[in-house]
Amino acid sequence: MDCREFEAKLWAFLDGELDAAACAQLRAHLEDCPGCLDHYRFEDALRLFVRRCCQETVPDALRARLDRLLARLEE
Amino acid sequence: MGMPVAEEKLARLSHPSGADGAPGRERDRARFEALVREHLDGLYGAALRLTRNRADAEDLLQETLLKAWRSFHTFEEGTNARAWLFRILMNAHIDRYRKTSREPETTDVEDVGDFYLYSKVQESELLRRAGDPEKLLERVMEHEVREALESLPDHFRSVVILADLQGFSYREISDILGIPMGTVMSRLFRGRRLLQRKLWDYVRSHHRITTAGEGAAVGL
Repeated sequence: MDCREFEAKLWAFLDGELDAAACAQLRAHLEDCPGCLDHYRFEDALRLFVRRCCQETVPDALRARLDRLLARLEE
Repeated sequence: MGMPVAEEKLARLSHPSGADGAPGRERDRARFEALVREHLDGLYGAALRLTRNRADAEDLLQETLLKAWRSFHTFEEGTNARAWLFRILMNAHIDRYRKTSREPETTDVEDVGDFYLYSKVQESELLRRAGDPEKLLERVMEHEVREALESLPDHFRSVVILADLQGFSYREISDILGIPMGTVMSRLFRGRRLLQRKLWDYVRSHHRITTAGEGAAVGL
């Protein structure tokens, strides 16, 4: 596997969507290629960062409104 | 959060307002409430990114819960409850917003090719000297990330929200949106490239970073 092939499969790999054989190939490439290892770490960190930035908690006022809604649910 | 709400809920459930002798339905309602409670923050986060504003997100969430309750009898216990709720959310969103605001189809979206934020970082003299390419992330503001995501066309945004914010698998996303797996992947990958390009624009314009090809880096 070369770096281009690695890059093409990187996101599917991070998404946990590759089969065991493909994962083994990518891992083997990661062991020999510091550049791709760097890229892998970056993509992983970026996704965590995006997720953290978009983390939301339902505000209390909305929670109260939804509680009232749930309480009124009819059959 | 926590105890007071739970206690209030228990108190209310023990005094059903109807008192119509339908214990099965009351049990359903308790199950439904528990399910909703578990996934409420996730649904709300997705609704915010889909609608891009709080008022619409709140309405969308409320509508989702009503629709979910109405079809709760068709929900099979033991199946994927979270995917079921998100499917209802996505359908409600499509009903509400595709009707009014006709967004351009995906063909109108600029092709960003093989854009990787990582490669841009590598090309940046300044960031390379700083060492860790992940340092770039510290230069991006949280609200910029939300804006960047919200700038994506609906087709791409929905898939990125489900995969990257909610962690659904390609198969689950395919079921939630009713589109083939291949379409999930192409939209997700294209959406990520668009997102990364947008983030790079923010980094460049707000923090005045230039790539090696564009001359010397200006001070930060």
